[in-house]
Amino acid sequence: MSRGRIEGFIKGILDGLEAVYSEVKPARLKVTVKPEDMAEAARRLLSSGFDHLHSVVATDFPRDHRIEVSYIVGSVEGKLADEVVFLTTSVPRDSPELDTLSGIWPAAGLHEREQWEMLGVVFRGNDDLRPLFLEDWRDIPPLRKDYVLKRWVDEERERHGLKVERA
Amino acid sequence: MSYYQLVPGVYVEELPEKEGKITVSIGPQHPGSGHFRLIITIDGDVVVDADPDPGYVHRGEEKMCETRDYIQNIPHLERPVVLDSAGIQFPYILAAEEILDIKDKVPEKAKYLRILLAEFNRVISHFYFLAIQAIFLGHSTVLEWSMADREVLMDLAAMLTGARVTFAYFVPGGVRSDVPSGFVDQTLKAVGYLRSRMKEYWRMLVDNPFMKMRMEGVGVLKAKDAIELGAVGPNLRASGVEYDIRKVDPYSLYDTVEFHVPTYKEGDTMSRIKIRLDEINESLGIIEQVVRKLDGMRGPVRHLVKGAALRAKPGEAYARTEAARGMMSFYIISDGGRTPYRVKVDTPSFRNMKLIPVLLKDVRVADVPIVFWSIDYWPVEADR
Amino acid sequence: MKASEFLSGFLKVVESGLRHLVRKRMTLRYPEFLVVPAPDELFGFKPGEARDTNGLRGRHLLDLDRCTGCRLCEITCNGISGAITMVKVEGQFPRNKRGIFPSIDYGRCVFCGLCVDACIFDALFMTDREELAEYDRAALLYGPEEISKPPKELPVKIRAKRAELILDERRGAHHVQRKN
Ligand code: SF4
Ligand code: SF4
Repeated sequence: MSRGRIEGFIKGILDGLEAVYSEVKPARLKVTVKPEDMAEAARRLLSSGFDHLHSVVATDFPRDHRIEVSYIVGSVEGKLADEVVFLTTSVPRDSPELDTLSGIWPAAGLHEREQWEMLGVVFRGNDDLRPLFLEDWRDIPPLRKDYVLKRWVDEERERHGLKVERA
Repeated sequence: MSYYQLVPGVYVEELPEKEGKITVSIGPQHPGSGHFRLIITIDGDVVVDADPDPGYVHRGEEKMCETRDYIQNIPHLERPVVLDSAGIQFPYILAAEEILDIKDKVPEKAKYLRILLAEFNRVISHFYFLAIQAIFLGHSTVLEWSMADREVLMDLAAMLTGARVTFAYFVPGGVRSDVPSGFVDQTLKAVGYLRSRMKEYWRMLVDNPFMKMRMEGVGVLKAKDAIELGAVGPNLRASGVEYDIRKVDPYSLYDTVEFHVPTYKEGDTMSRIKIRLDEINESLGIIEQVVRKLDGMRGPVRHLVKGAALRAKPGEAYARTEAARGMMSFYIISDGGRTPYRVKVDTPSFRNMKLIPVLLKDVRVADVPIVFWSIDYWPVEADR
Repeated sequence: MKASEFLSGFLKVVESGLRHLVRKRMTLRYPEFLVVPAPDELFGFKPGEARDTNGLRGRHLLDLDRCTGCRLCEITCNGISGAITMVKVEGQFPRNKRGIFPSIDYGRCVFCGLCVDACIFDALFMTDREELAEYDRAALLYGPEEISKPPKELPVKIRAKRAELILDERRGAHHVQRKN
């Protein structure tokens, strides 16, 4: 489907919801809705064929005081199989909370768990928010922009006595 | 998490107890791949619950991407997926080219060379899968065969790229080196040789009555579950869903080569093996076609991007490809700087992790290794 | 499963296995033999043609007369593994007034060859020498003089003869010693 047709198609599905449409290269559609509309939009996308959740991505934008959360969905059905749609919303950075969509796309549970760990976005209703990759992590979530990677590297080096002499 | 002290300084994690059942921690030392732990609860010798515990080989690739430019990101991104390093490079390069706005400048020859290396890697990775699956089945003949036959293509890849495993061959704008002399002939010979070998693999693993008894009907994944849980790649297709990105959303020049997407209905461990054997055959077909096209093709292989042009415009790009283990995708956000603002890597193994609890339920303890490995879960790739 | 099916499947497996008795061994006797799959060329970058020459990516080779000390290789490698540091070399170099050259720490290098791509003065190459094992870490730090000389021949005891892979469908893949 071309960019114009998929935009028309999605607009038809999300009729009545407040949505902003933008583009992710190459010609993928990104739909930004309000946080409270996420569940409704997701339900409509699922029932019109977007049955395969590809991923959940959260991105920190400290300058705008928001964290953007995108659900990337595709479809294994014939007609929509070449499409990828981004269902996006923004949550405030100091209290990032969002309702889980794992009831709609069961695959979302694991992806939400990762984004919770990496960016601290709390997905209300997801009962599986346990540490996934990081064990005993006490710092701020590492993929936030104010997390300084260099400091961690230096601390770890020192902890292991690994100040390697450079020529 | 609670711990008790074994000897001074050594702590052991206490697993939650469930009444009447035994909780077993398998790993984190893993005999076939990177480190990974599986916590299973068993009743008698039947698994009632399985909980994957990844993270032992987490490297923070996404954070690392934010501090390096689009070329410097190439080598470290290959490390999590060494068996399929072209598989992870492909979507990264496609997304990076989108965001650097040089997509139209990539020469045709480079596109074919990319397909060639990606298919090499698919075969290499599937052979590794067969080797480890065979040793988990106690079938050490196939372990040795597939480890040896892998070498044939790895040598060819080394001839083309200069490295055996981590190729660093794809760059924004094309590929790094041209076809060396004698490469086309040797590749065609290798395809013929491997084709003749595939029949024997089929005999050893699929028609073999002992393998049938071990694997048929064990660890069944239904198509509906597979879609809902977000399974990708051969595991999804072994359950009867024909979903291959190369076919449904062709990238590079995959729409100019002919191949067919094998699927199986059963969704059991055996069909996950059969599908990989079939895919090796299909990949060999693609390699043959591509190599014939490359023979005598002239022209550049790379559009050279000068340092200053490596600065991307603000924007977002997304690319997905079919790597050996399934759909691999990159989502890159740029704010106009020299380095990406945010990179999200989605690996097939991470997506397939969701399948482990479902597949292992009601499986006997003795079958846990073969069912677990049959989804080709690669811990390093999942952790990133 | 029917008994006949079982038997025929089983016999086929045995046949496939037995056939290997007459096939040649594929295993390579390393280190007496060594396969160097790439053509005998130095891996280097040709800016004019925008491509690398085909060669194995092993230890580097530096051309002291061509290197200008421009640091492009160091800048590239800093974001990759940080193996390159610039050091001063005594002597007169007309193209390199300050006399600074790259030194490479093979404890860190990942052999990606992107520093070779970055060098636009045709001064940095890679040889096919991959055996660089040493007893301590400091010995892995190669200075500019060291990487400007071609790799030393290995001691006779472990020197490898070049082998090549023959793909024979009937008799199996096997290695033979290369003629040249
Ligand atoms: S090959 Fe790669 S890691 Fe090694 S010195 Fe060059 S740029 Fe650095
Ligand atoms: S080796 Fe090449 S890139 Fe490095 S300093 Fe010398 S001239 Fe510059």
